[in-house]
Amino acid sequence: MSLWDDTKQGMESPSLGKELDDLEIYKSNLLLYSMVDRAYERWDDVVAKFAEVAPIEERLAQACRDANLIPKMRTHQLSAASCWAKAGNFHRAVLLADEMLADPDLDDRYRERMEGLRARWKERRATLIKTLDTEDEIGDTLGKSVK
Amino acid sequence: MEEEREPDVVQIGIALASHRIDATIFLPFLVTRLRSMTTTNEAMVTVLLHDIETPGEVRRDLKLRWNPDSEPRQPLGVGEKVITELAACGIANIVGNLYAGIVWRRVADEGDGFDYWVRQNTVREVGLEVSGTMTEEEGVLEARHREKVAQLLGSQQRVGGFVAVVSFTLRRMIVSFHLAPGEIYEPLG
Repeated sequence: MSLWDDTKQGMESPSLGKELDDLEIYKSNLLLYSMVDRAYERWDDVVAKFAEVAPIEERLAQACRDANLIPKMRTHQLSAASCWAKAGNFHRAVLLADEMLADPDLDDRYRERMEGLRARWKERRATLIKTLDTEDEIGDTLGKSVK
Repeated sequence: MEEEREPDVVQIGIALASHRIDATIFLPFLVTRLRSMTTTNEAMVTVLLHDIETPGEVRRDLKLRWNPDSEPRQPLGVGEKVITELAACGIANIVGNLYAGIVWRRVADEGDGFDYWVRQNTVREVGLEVSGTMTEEEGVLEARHREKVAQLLGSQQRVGGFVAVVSFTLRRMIVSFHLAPGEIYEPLG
């Protein structure tokens, strides 16, 4: 049906066993449903889905590493980091990006992409801390004035 | 000269439900877009297949039918652009499966440069980039297609794959296959 010879082109992605294959379907559905949640601006639901998907992606990445499926492992690693960031856990996202970037075999295009993402997540993390500090100062000041 | 053939007919609710991942979430969005094109519960779309069934371009007329019960009773309450994009995902899912035999495996990460990982019937996956528009100009649709091909092939994943762009106003869709840079075309058979 296609000119694509899928025994030769594309990325190798054999079964990881029923449990992990089912988990992959489950997390893909969560990501699809999050698209609709986003459309309706149901942000709590969106964040909850990303927070659920992120550790699944980490588990799938580990399974791919164990099976020596390195290109597929990287797709799960990237997705795990990205999902953690979308769930608001920039610290975990940056750690995963560090781990990917420490791999000397990482492709240049991938490296460039990950460096860009890591810089953005670090910036967001710093902004978050600054914002929380500012709010704490206001809270402290208010607390002192009440005393 | 290509011989005339009857339009292919698809019941969209059934087609979207026949996948490994839950593509039925696109149904209300796709029905909303198709409903605006017709007064009945079926709509015709012209599909231009590039390097899918044979080298070069092949045209297919596709009649999409839906159960009137699947029509949203109230407006969907989201922006028009969102409806168009999610409807495009729905029709790309159906058309990709019908003409290229592809099934959706997983949602790609936003940074991947494409939307979905897909495969035919073996163990290798390629990308699928989808885009929807309400443009009335064929040139705009073609430009969008070129832009999306560049996006797919520029991905850090370095895989080839499919691009599907649709204009619900023109009732026209382009679906194409592309090898990744460096991949060699190896004819089947």
